[in-house]
Parts: sequence; structure tokens; C-alpha cells
Amino acid sequence: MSAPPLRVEELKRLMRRHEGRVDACIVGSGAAGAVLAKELAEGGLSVVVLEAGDWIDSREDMVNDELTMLGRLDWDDDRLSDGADPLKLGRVNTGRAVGGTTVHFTAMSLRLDASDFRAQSADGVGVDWPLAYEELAPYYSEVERALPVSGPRRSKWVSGAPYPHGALPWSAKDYVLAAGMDKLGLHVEMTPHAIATGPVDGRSACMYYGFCMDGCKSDAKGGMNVTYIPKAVAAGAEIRARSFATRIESESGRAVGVTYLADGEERFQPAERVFVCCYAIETPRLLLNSGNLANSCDQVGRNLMVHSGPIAYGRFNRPLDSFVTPPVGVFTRDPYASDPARGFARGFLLNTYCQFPINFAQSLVDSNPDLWGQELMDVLDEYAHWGLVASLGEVLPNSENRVTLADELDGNGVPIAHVTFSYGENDKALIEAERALAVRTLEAAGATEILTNDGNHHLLGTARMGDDPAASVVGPDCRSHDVPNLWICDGSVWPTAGAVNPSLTIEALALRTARLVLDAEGRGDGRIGR
Amino acid sequence: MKRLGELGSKEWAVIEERRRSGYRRETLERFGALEAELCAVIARLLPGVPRSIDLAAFVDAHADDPIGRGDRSPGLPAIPELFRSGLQALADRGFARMPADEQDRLIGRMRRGEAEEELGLEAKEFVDRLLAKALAGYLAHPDTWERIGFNGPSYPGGYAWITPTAVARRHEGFPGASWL
Repeated sequence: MSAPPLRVEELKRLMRRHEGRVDACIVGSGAAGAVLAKELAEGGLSVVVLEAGDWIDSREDMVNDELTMLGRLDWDDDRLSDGADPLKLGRVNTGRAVGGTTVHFTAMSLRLDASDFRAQSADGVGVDWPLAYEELAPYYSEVERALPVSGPRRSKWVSGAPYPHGALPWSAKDYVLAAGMDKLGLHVEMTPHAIATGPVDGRSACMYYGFCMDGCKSDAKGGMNVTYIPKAVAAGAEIRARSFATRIESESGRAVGVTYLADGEERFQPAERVFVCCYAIETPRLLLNSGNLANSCDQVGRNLMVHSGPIAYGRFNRPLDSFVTPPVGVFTRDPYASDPARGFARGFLLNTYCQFPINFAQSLVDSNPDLWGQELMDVLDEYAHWGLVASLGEVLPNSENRVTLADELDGNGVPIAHVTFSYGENDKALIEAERALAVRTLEAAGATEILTNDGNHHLLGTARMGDDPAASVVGPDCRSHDVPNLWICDGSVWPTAGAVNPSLTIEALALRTARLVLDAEGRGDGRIGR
Repeated sequence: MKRLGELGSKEWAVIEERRRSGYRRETLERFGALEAELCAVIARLLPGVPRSIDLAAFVDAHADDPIGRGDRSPGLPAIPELFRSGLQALADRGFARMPADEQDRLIGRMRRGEAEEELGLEAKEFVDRLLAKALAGYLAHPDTWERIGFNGPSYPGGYAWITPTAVARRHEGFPGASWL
């Protein structure tokens, strides 16, 4: 079969339109929703996807400019945020577009480690997942081939190596900062990315434009918008953009469809099955606004997690021009495994990184109250000289970190999300270790001046999966314990956060969920990953 | 099918518009009455920004634009109202006419969260959000890119100067260049 078109106009032209009741209504078209849509449509189900964001054509709508794209790709609606460590919400962690957050993600595509699925048994913290790494591994492989993921031929750590596409080249920042990691005895590899390094399906190989996080104009970055969405459309799925779901309707304990707003009017999509794929804030918001649906366990909205991610910024005597090539370069997973000697459970990874100018400056001044005025101008004047070591660490679940509905309503009359978050003691110790190792890396690499920030990334938890219906929202197949024809499938279902960027695992979980749904209908072919 | 010459036209339009206007407006729409304070506080937060970049006009025009960030603490007013009340509090204290070192001490207290009672509002949120907004305007301007060594849009041709030889030459003397 020839590759489906990439241009939005062409996709819309060939897209089927479904009327009346459908086999599956999927809310959200990101890492989970797009995979489900393609798989279920190819399995013969009629599929409608409701997406709050708009179509983004890489040629027509993406502009190689940071300010133009800030907000265009982001879920930056009004949300309340509090707790001891209030989260910043918007570009930093949630997207809004056909393709969801994968339109602006960095494309880091790492697998969770086997130990991430059993933090409780291994380290006595968090909870165990109700499935093991081995059950997900074949789906990881299939997604890595579908995107495709580029990466090294072999790896010291859990990985999909050898990857279908060769690794991205090292950039200047990678040589400089990896030298620091090497001096500390840390093993370094190029990070696997969902970025094609050769042409595939009519998409260009990576052109090293560097603007991954403002939308990839070469289509090399394997966001859902150029991978699973075109294939879902080709298989007969309908993607309804600018369609904001407000309620999942249910009768006698079963979901019957989704009420949504489009073109200023309220509509209803009846469905045999409903899949909620809106990420860890909008998923609980939608469930809570649907009469507290699927929440007999009182776990919807609870255990919100992020990945802790202080960044260390080092100034070098010569320009690094980190903005060329994708923002994430080489990485080390050596600090990932739990080590009792460190005084905290679980671990983290370090990678080289680049922030474009606005993001660079805003991230620095947010965390450094004394950085403004002439001192700030001096830092900005040497923007091209700064090299970044970013970290990504595991934050443990805490049921008091949660998403609830605020009293205030948004423009559509839906209560806005209220997000409460505080780090725990283990998290704080881990964050200081992340910061310390990132700083030592820069020192070893020869940085002449070092700053750090208090960043974090990603949103996970709030509809955890588990075997016990009294303590979890969905089972290991992502199906609601309470509502038999309702699935929740996105980062919300993660019982613990691990310490890798979540998209690849969300995609693998969605693929597994789709296969289980089709198998249960007698429509599957028994494949567990291709 | 587009001709190659048309690719990248949006990028060029953005650059040319910013160079041409520098965000400047005849009058400020929101904060016209508080323009002196707005200009004074931006001049201390980001000193030495050239006159070709009108950050007060940028902040005025984008006060209600989340620019990718949607969170606020419960009870915090909407951002345009936060800016208005913050600038009014500065005006009440004659901020625009203070000597620069006095202005800097007040900004320092605001940034460190030590001026909440003094100004009777969320002074840290006010100055932090104002700084972030002004930075978005400053760092989106092509004059700034030239100054800081950011090469702007790379589409469609990539960064033309980046040939392997040019990269190698730029990286001579790097602490890590001899590694590998």
C-alpha cells in the first residue's frame, strides 16, 4: 500500500465522514488516540476522533519562529495551579492540535526499564504496574518501527537497538558536554528519537532545522500528525478537529457517547465504545465533569506526577550554537537505577539540550530571582555560548497531588481544572542529585559559569491502572473497572512515572489496548506486536 | 505545488514585519495611562534594549495572550488586571521618577517576593510575568537575534553557513573538540 498523504488538505479530502452511532469514539488525537484510531479503523471498526485542537499542516501552518508557534500548539487555557510546588502548565507539558503534544515534543523515544514496572517490589516505593516490561516489549518494537525511531546500533541500557533508522549525528554541544560526562565516568550514547534520518513514507529525512518544538517542517519528526493520523484517516477513521468534549454520557453503567462543542454548538456522538485520551489533566477533568464517571475508587484525578527536571546551563568560551540540530542530543542513563548509597529511591537520566531564546530566558528568570537587569542582558548576549545539561527524574505518586474541578467556569461553561502539586522528600533528594550531577558535568566539560533552574516535564497519573478495582481506575488493558465499554488510554494510567519521556510508552500501551479490544471482538489476528 | 522561492515566505514575513514595526503602536491600548511606569520598569528589567524594539507596546498588545502558559494561582487576577494593578501600585509610589538604584532595589524586593505587603498585591507574580512577557518580545526580534548570535529561521535552506568545515573551524579550541 502506498503511503497516505501528509498534506492536511489532501487528508481532509479523502477522510470518511461517519453519521450516527459509531463503534468507537476516541477523545483526543495525541500519542494514544491516534494509535487507537489507526489500529481500530484498520481492524474494521467505525471510528470518530474528537480533537479540541486544529489541524496543523507542516508546510502551511508551521512557521520557523518561536513566538509565532507559542500558543498555537499548546493547551494554554486558564488553569488554577497551587500546592507547595505549583506546576507551570502550557507549552512545557501539554499540546493541543491534531496529533496532540507530539506535534511539539522533542521526540525523545526511550523505553521504560523493567524495574519501572515494579517500583514497589524492588524499592518499596510507589506501586507496581499490573503488567510487566516483557508484555509491553513487542509493542515498543512495533511502534519504534512505525514512527520510525532513529538511534544507536547497540545500547548499554534497555532499548530498541538496533533501531530502524541510524542515530542522529552529534552536534557541537554533544561533543563538548559528552566530554564532561566522560570525565565523570558516565557512559554516553545518542538519544533515540522519533526522528527519521532517512526518507520514509514521503517524509523527508531530518534536515536539522532545530525547530522540533515549534513544529517540524520537514515531517522527519514522527509526531502523530505525520505518522498514525494519516494512516488512521486512510483506514477510514474520521478526525473532527476543533471539537471539545464536555461530557461522556452514560446510561445504566455503560457509556453511550460523548457530548462535545463544535462551531459554537453542542453536539452528541453516540458510540458503542468510548476511549478517553486527553492526558493527565483533561482526562480527569472530563471524567469528573461527566458525573464523576469511572470513579468508584476515588482515584480519578489523584497521583498526578511529573518528571523532575532541573536544567544546568553552562557558559563556554566559544559558541556552541546548540539551536542547530534537534534540541536533545546525547544522553546517559547511568544514574537511572536505584542506588541505596544515594539516599533516595529510583533515579534519573541526563541529556544535552537546547532551549530557543524565549524559552531559554523565561526558564532561567523563573528560577533565579536575582537574574534580571544587566546581569540577565549579559547572559542573553552570549546565548550561543551556553550549553545545557537537562535531567529527567522519577517523581513518586502521592494521592494528594491531584486534579479537581474549580468553581470557575471556562468560556464553554465547563469548570476549569485545579491542579495541586507538591514534591515529596524522596523527590527533593532526587532533584538535588540531578542538579548536582548536571552541574558537575558542566564543570568537567570546562564551563566558565553555571546557572540552574527548577524545571519539570510531562504529566502522568490521575487515572492509574491496577488489578484492584477498589484502588485503581482501569485494568491492565486500560479498560475502566466501573464502565465496561469505557477505556482510558494515555499518560493518566501510569501507576508510577519512571524517568523517560512518556510518548513511546503511551503509544505502545495504546497499541496493546487496541489489539486487546480487537481480539475481544473476534476481529483481531492474535498479533502481539509486529 | 509551490515554487521553491515561495517556501519560507511566512518566515520572511514575520522577520520583515518585526523589523518594520518593532511592535510600536501610536498609543498603548491597555496601559496608556500607566505608560511611564511600564517603560520605566522594563528599562530596569532589560536595560539597553534598543529603541527599535518597543517592549512596552509588545507587553500592552500581548497582555491577554497566554503565549503558551495558562496556569495561575487561585485568587490571582487575570494577567492584564495583574499588570494594571501592579503598574498602578508603582505609579502611586512615583516609580518612574525614582533614581535608578532605588528602582532597582524595589524590583529586587519584588523579584524575591519581599514586596507583597509593601505594594499590597502579588508583586512577585506581577514582576515575574511582566519580565517573561517582555522577554518574549525582546527575544523574538531579529535585531536581538543578531546581537545574541541566534540565527533565526532555518527553513527551508537550513543554516547556510553550517558546512562541515565551518563547524570544525568554529569548534577549534573547544574543551571537548579533541574528544572521540
